[in-house]
Amino acid sequence: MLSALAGAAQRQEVCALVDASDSFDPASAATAGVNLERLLWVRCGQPATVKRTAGEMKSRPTGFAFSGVLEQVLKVTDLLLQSGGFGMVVLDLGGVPVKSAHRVPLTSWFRFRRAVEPTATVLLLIEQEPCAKTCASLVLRLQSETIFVSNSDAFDRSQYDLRFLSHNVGYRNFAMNIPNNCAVGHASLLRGMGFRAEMVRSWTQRKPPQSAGTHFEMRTAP
Amino acid sequence: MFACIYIPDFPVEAIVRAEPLLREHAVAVLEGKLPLVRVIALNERARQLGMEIGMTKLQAAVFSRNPSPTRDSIGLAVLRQRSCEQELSAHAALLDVAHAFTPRVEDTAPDTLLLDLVGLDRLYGAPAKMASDLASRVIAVGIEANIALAANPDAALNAARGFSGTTIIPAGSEAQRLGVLPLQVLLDAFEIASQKKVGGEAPRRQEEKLRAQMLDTLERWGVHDFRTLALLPEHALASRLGERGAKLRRLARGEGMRTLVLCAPSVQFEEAMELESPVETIESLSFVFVLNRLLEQLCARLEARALATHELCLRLQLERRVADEEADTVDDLKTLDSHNVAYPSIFKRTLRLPVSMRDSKVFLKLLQLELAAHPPGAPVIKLWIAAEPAPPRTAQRGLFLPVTPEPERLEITLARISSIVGERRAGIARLLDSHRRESFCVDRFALTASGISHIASPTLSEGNNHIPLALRILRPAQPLQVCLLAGRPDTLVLEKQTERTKIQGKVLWSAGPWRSSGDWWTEKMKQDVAMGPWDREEWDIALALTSIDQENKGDVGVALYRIYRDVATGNWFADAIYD
Repeated sequence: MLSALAGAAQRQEVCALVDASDSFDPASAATAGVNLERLLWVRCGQPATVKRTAGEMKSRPTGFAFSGVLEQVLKVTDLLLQSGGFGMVVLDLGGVPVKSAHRVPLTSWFRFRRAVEPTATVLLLIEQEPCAKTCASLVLRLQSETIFVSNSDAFDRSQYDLRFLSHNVGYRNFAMNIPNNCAVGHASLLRGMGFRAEMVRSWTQRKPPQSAGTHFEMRTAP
Repeated sequence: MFACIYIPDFPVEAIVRAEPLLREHAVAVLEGKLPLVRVIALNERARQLGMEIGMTKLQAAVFSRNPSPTRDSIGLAVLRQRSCEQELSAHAALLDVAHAFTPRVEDTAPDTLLLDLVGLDRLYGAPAKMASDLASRVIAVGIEANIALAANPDAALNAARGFSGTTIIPAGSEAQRLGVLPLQVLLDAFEIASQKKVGGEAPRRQEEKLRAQMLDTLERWGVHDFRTLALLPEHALASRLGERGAKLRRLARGEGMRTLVLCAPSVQFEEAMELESPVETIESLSFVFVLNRLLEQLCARLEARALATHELCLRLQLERRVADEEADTVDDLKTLDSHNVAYPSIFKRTLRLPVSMRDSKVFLKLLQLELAAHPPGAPVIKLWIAAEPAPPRTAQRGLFLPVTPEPERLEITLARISSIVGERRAGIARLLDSHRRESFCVDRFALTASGISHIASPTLSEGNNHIPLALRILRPAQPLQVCLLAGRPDTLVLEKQTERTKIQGKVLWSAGPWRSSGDWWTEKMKQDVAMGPWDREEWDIALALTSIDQENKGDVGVALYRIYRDVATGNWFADAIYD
């Protein structure tokens, strides 16, 4: 997600992030190269409070029949897509339980698809399991595979795929160049994570694509 | 060449400007305190009904209540209380129009302006073109006025007061054109032309008495119009009526030239309206109509001066509530204040716009959303809207730059989003210069030139496969129960397991602790957890992920978390997930 936002920042596009679980870390984004001044961050999850009557504060969604976070997310996304002009709108449902995410009606995804089809806006949905179904033009599955650490204390290497830098000559040079004042992670020990990305479905090509997969790594920021 | 803009029945016109539907009705304006409320101004339709200035309220009410069988609802007279705010707004609008036309403007009277048009023919064209252009600009701000152009200011003033519509008097034919006007017009204009500032009640009565005597004298002589007065010999007239008589004769002949007393253009843009009855619900159509009308007037004034605004200030005068009246003592009022029961008499909201705008529909929507988020809490009886003038937006986008949101639509979208997710929950994240975790604030989202700067970022597209590691923050931090083994976290479980976060199990790998503390010197902020001092030990840990599938329970991978121990309390919290 941050890479996509950083790419949009390089293209000088204005982006919006609808954060369903309020878990976005601005420091991580800044490290990844996201231009925070061009990113509209919408923090969902907390209903708006409206002063309705004298002497009491009623906490309720303002004027509309919103009952949960997902309703907020859908409404905000609708507004952003209708407003137009955004290069990328990201819906981060990564922190939303799968059961809740599946409750979003398919008509909403169809509406969003219709809204972005004639525009240059990219609607990016981050979720634990695909719930947009056939409305998605491209579905990618990302899975963590490897964690790179620099010591082996109290860790069963036989069970999990962790690479220890002290045993790997290739990474040792890399570790020496990392300063200790890392912005995001504690770089002296945690080096990064390895992921596998697989294209599940794509409508962006005329023929259905062959199964394609790749590996990439994320490292603590230098 | 000089021009005069004169608004006949100014108090009526000021009210009709705010309520354009009244233009088709007979309108009478009342002033005074009961029982001495009298009609002070009428429009032409009201005169046709038989109403007169000086009528009492009871007499005027007859025309508004008992329509004759042949009279429809339009024939009924509408009675309105005089509104000084609306008159000031109308006068300010007129000044804006005049200053947009020429910088040389004399603020002669609330209903009269004199404009120096010398040298403007090359800009606006012939006098007829200038007159029609001026008339259309005056109509654009919602006012119907008489406009006259003449070679000297006094002739223009008399023509505007005497002739309705647009009048152009060529140089040299002033006496001929003004000759048909009644003497009353001359005496009315004379006081303005002589720039007499009559202060106090007694001098004003004395002046009115003198004027009545002079009118009586002239009528006894058989002088009823300008032409007759202009034919009288100057010396004989001066010997009988003094200097005043000679001046009157020169004005009647359309002669003489004087220097205009110029006024500076106003930089205050404010519109006001007093409501006939208190409006309790701000969503009501009547309130929206009033708001819309005021905004349209404000935008028309800004447009007349080629300006826009970047700040709108809405003030509402609220009706005193019963709760306030029941509060007998100061302590009661304080108690009510603490419960937000007692409201101030003036409710104020300010809209700060990131770019200068001049669209009344956008302003209306933004104000509606603002008032929906912050209701005044009491019936509204009067409202003011003021705009801070600013030069209009002149930025031109490049052809090959990516499309950005339209500022007007973006503002409305942001206001709507704020009403859904709450204030200060949508905007730009700005990192603060601090070592504290979560040291950022959310600023208002605005597309500025500084945000367009190119930022080099490490992305896959550049062939750099090492993407920086990111964190997914758990807000608020989740309390943990941690068992230690040899000073390191061994097993942990969330104190309150939720559907969203399930963190528990044996720690596979841990690294730490990293100690950080700060802000211990800020005594004042100790109560505020978010901004107060902190002292924590952070750990990176790896936990086995369990499958969500109930049938195939088992470990499916490893997840990395960042947990910390609050040194002050000794409690453990889950802070973030490495993503």
